[in-house]
Amino acid sequence: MQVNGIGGVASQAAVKGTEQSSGQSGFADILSEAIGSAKEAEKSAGEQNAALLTGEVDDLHTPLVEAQKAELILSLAVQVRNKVIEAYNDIMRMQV
Amino acid sequence: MAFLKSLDISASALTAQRMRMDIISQNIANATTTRTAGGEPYRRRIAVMSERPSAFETVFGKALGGGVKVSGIVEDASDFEYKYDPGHPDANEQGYVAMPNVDEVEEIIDMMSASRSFEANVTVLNATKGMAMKALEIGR
Repeated sequence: MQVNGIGGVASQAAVKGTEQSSGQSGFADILSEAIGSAKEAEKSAGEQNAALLTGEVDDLHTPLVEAQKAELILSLAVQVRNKVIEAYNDIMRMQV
Repeated sequence: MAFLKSLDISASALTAQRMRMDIISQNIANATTTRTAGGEPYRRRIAVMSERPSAFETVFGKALGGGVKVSGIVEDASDFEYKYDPGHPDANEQGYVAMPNVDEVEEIIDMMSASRSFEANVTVLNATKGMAMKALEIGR
């Protein structure tokens, strides 16, 4: 089954949809991987913040850099989610 | 997350410059200390910076490097200055007091260098973050 002219993520998702019994597992893998890394980064940033407030941290910039990293990873996860949902919607809108 | 490694490199530089600043402030604070725990006057300390190796990720066959670290704090081996002050409790038989080998002007210049280096690394960090945010705008 060939999917032409839709786009990279959409065609990959369509192939995954035909391989597995339900089309949900492919999206879940991509999403959970992105959310997992976002969760790790948030946890690390939270620990650094707590250390800063209790006065244990040596440097002032370390919690800020960790917070920045967490923000970047979260933005990435949000963008990945947006693209995946958009691809899913494109597939669902196709007339059979 | 390879795009975050650049942030780690800049953060290591911020840590190293802050440590260098600590050493400079210690030197300036002790510029007139004639007696330390060892009995000698205070000896000026210098921070030795070295490249921090990164175990992974080679680009063009050469390891990219993991930033900078302060590999050691060494004492300046130059001679003490002698000041004539017979009434001082630390004066020797000739009436001279050994003063620390700290030149305040040199330390202030080092302080400016450390401060500018810190600012430069913050600029690099912001630029890297800006690049990453721009990349996330692709296809929005």
